[in-house]
Amino acid sequence: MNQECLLSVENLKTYFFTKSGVVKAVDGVTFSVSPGEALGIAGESGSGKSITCLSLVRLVPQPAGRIVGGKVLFQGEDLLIKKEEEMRELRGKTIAMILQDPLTSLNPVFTIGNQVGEVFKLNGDKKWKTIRAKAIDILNRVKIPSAEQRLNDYPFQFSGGMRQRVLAAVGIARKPKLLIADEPTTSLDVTIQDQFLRLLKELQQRTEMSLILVTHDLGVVAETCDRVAIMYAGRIVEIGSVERVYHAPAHPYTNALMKALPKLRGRTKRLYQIEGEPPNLYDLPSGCRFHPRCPMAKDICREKYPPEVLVSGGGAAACWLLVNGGNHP
Amino acid sequence: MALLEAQNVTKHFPVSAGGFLLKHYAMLKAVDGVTFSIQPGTCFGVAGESGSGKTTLAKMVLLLEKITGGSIFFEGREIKGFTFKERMWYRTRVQTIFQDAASSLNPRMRIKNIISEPLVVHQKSLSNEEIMAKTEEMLRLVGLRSDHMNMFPHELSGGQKQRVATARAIILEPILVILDEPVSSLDVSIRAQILNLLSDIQERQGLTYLMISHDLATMHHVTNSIAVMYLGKILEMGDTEMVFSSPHHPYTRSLFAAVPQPEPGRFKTGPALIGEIGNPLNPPSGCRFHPRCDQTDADCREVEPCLTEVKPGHRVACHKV
Repeated sequence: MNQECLLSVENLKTYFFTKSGVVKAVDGVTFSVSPGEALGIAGESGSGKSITCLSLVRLVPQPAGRIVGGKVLFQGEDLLIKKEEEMRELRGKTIAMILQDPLTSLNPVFTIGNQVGEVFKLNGDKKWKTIRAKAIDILNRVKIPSAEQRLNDYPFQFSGGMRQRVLAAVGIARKPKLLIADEPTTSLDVTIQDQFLRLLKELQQRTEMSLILVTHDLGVVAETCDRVAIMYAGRIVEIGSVERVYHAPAHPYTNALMKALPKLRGRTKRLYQIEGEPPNLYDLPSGCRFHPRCPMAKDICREKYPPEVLVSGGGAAACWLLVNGGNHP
Repeated sequence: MALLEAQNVTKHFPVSAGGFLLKHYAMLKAVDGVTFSIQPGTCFGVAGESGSGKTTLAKMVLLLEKITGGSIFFEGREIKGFTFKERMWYRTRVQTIFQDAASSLNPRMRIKNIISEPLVVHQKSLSNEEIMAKTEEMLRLVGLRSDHMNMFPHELSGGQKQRVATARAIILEPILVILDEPVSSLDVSIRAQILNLLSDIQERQGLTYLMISHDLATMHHVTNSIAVMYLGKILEMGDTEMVFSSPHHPYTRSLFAAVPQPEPGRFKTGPALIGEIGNPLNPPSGCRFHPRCDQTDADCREVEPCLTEVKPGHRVACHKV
């Protein structure tokens, strides 16, 4: 991989070892993020998008979950072989995370000021006054109205949108190089989601940090990200610039997804539907994991997993139809 | 004649506001004067953010919440004063599919028992064989196999559970089905399947739907007419095509603008909507949307606008229209 990448993930594999078998939640994921870039990871539930993110910072639920292979190169260093203390130092400082449910990420018995201030305390600030001033400043930057008065409020006194802003403030407080946001707007209403996404975009552009946005909502990706990776059953099936993937999807799954989305403009009486259900992760289909639902599946799709093929217009997709012009038995 | 008609319906919840021996109560106005009617064979949508009162409205139609003011008429009969017998009849005519199919199915019951339970309750004259035959027919209709009959809900996927909930709702051949966020808990690739299934069933059985959702793109595809609610009031209502092609109310417009679209390169026009939905315990005076509106003037702060027709079949509650 080239040197300009901030983060490069190579063949990452995270499995869960459970009583009823091995769940290959992430099974050979490769992607990279350049500095200042926003990458969206989109997929349905169970596609492994959240576990991919947790693997990056080595926070996979223990002991069932284990990273069994691959490399996570962050600024050239492999995070998977670092010591736990080094990872601790890294988390929050250079890689920050925003989780889906802001209420469970905040401690209910401490004030907002306390929790935001904690970040600066960790950063080495000792004086109570400077910590307070910095906390007010960061809350102002995420546009929390009358931040000074609200420092003494508890999380339950904040609305959902405001809580998510507090988490964003905690996330960006130490000027991380990479911010990972896992479904940050799923619990918010559309108008509040709109406000938060605009804020996130603005913060990202101003601080020039990279962003990994995990979501199931393809609309959110289109409005926030530069590139997108579409995941299906633990693998990335297609990756590329948002324009290319949305306008000329190469993989049949991406193509079907785009057609199945209800849109605000252009009403059709009947939606295009993808037959079948996402696969059972205990018992994955052989070959390409999408083949049981794919209208264009051929014999080879049932036998072997397709290689990643570069797509004209940028990016790559893993599909046999793109190999040899799709001439397979 | 309209199948369902709501006239100035209100739902006020008393909320404790302190006091030691004599408790004081404040009124939470969840639904505050809502009027609409649903024509047979159509799908009527109620859109709104959380806290707009859309689910409370559905619960009142289902007689799961007492109506505190106004009236709801079903086939010309007021549902508020129904006796026990009339309620039983009403429930064979009006059924519902809840948002979260997983929690609306009893985990200890087999699929066949879940689907046939309405028949067991309402049509006592049927024999066991008849009930099972009907259950199997419903199962096939919603696209499940007969080997699903003896399974338990946890053995099914999310989409299949939603299909079971659908089968249970239509087994009594009701005339009105209330869909409360029918697809919001499902994945994108399953959503289209369920929405298509619902419209197939509607055509087959001549059903009328009342659909509650916050997902405007889905509403656009499914509904014939739509009402946009905000803090217990309807702000805009009309034919779906008309409302979506030319939204008049500032709230409807900003709501549409806020929906993330899967169209890269589409730049957002105008600023984001400021602020958050108000407190229903103490709603803003005048127009309830005025603190977030960019066209507010003195009139909006004081006088509450009422729904006025801008075009035949399209009504808006705003002073500026």
